[in-house]
Amino acid sequence: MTQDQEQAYELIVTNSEFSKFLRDEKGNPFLSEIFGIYPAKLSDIKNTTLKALSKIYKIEMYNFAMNLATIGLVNLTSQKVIEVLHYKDSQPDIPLSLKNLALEIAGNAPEVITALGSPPLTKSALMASTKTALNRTRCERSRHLCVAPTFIKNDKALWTIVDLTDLNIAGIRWTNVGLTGPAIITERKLQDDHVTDKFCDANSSIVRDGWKLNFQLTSSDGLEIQQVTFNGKPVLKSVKLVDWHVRYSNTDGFGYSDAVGCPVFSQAAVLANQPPKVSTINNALGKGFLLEQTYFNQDWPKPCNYNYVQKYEFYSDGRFRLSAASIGRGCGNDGTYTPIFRIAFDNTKNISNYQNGNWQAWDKEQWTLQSNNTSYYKDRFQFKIETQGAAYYMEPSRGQFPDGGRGDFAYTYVTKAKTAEGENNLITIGPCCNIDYHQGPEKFIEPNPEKLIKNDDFVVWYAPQLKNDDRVGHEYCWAESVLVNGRYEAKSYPCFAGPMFTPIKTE
Amino acid sequence: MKKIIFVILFLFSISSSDAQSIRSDQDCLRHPSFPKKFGFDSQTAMLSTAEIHDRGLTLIDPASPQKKSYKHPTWRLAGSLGGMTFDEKGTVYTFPAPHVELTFNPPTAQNILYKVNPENGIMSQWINLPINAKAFDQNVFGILGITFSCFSKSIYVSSVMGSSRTKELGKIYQLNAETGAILNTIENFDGFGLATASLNNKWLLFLGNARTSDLYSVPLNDQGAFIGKPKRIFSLIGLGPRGDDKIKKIIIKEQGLQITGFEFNFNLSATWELQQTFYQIPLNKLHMN
Repeated sequence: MTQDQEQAYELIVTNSEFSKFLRDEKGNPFLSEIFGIYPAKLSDIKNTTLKALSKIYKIEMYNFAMNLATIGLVNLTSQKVIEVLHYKDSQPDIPLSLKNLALEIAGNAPEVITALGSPPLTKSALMASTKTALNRTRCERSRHLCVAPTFIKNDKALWTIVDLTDLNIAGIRWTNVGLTGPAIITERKLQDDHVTDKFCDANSSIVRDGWKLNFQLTSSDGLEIQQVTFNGKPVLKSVKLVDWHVRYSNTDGFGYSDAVGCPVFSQAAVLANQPPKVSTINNALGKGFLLEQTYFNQDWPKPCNYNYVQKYEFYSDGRFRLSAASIGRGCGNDGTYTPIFRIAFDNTKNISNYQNGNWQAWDKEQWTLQSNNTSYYKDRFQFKIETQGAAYYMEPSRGQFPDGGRGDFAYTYVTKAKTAEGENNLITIGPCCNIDYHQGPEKFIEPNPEKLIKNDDFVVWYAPQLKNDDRVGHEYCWAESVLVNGRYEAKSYPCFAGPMFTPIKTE
Repeated sequence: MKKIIFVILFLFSISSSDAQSIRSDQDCLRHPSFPKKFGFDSQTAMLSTAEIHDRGLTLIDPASPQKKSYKHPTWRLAGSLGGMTFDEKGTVYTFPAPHVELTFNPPTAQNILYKVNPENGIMSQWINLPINAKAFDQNVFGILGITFSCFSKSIYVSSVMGSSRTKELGKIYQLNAETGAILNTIENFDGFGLATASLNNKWLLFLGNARTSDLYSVPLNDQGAFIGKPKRIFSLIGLGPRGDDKIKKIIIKEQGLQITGFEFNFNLSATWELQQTFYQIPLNKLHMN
């Protein structure tokens, strides 16, 4: 720093208004950085007399936790602070050190190297056709400080959004280089376009651990799996998550029916912003793989914003589990979440409910509630589902699965399979706030439940009830922002629910 | 809690060389008289379509000690509502728009205009605009904008019914305000916020586009009919905190337009914190030629 810059810094750093947002209400420091100290431009100075007579310096500071810019003006002649202003959701021009850091992150990102075919920066002499520009861009979802190094190669530009708050890559995209340059590239557009192109407009498939299945993001029924087979034998026609009902007990009738699904041009209210993930399972429950999809609202975990997870676990012995979780935070600590699963087996024959020590076949459409009085076969299984080629026990969660779930308390409905009753994308299946079995699927049963004739295809609807909790040490279906290393991070307490299905031969 | 960000992008300053004059076309509008009938102070009462705990229309008085509110039994008829406009008698015109869910806003009912009687407050269906859609997976919206034109005694309505990610099939309607008859349409345009005005003594309709951040205008003849197709005259692209807001509302001010930019991507929203920003656009930033 020059002597003038040092003087300016000394003057401003002791100013109480300039330091106003350096710490939270508990005194914990936010990550803040002075981005620039330089002579003020004439346009920065309101007082015309000062313009002529004084040496005025401008100091720009950025608060990474609050996404806040603080701008100060000091008069070195009079040794006074002239003005301090704070700008929410704003960022000053980034300093050279952060520009270099952004280029380094971008240049070493595997996705950038793969896209360009080789590292773009370190061997610039060998990459004569590649130039770099650093564009400002928006991380409007995360509200982080982001820039976009853009690598021009031939007639195309690779935009790389670098998140300088989390120090990672938010996304990349090729664009054509026109006379006026590409349209605005933002974090949200990159995420939404990728998810839409690859997973809403197209089917994907997995072949692994004896399983074969297709999956696709729907307009409002979450991530649907279809044509699921195990060791070549059909298992499931389709499984999807048609709604999340959220009701708040302190305000009568207050709540929402949230649909989850594609991020744009969809019926979803809580949106998939990341692609589905596939990972390996190797834990106490066995070996296999996990297919997982998350959905979120942009300002989560702020109040009245939602975040959901949907999981499909497939084990190498033929078991599978369908589950979902709320990660809060919702509009209050008196919320009950009810995800509605639609589960269609392939070629169903019979379904039986375990009661009083026996399997009772269901011969008509009906529902039941999993309660403290529910009987379980072998202390685990509530239902037995027989298909043309196999049979499965259905095991609801009572807190036995290693995901923190505390029990499903689920309504299970069985309805005759009909195209008009959920085979296609379902709009909101029912109102948010009923406290009984009226969660939506009952409308396919009432008022005249149909008989389930042997070999009739039927559908199982599964609707757990998850009560949230914000008490310290008991948090459930909850999330909060915590300050970590001066930046806010979400601390989440998911409430997972969903049944495991066990092939009867391997029970 | 709604958060609204105000962004004054450009100061309202026009040099003499590019002087233009703009005049609002809403001087004849009157407020309804029913708030008084329901015990509200007509000076401070407001009609709201965005109350977090209840759908439909709500009469509120933010100035009253307990934030007094009232809901007529007919005001939930259309589910969640979008915007509204008045006419010269105080009739309220409004339309359904799904917010969080479709329970009370089925897609097939999103092209219906509703009317609220200015004296007794009774809300009823007024006009069913055509439903030119077969599937609603990609678009559950219908009407997105409405404005009353004093000079032509017309109501202009924008509807995106039938549009999808790849097809822009929305329409702009000019309706006879007395009968509701469709007088004119603009096809294949997904309109959002609308406003009529006189610019340099010529009538025109400003239109926001629901798919892009662009502002359009189309000239109107003396009867308020469209002359030609909408022309792009400004864009919010790159402006504001999101950079790609859509133009939800347009208000004519003395020296320019006040635009409400809104995050809209043809999906629902589970949060009530509206992602919107106000933009002040001076006339000399509009590409009218």
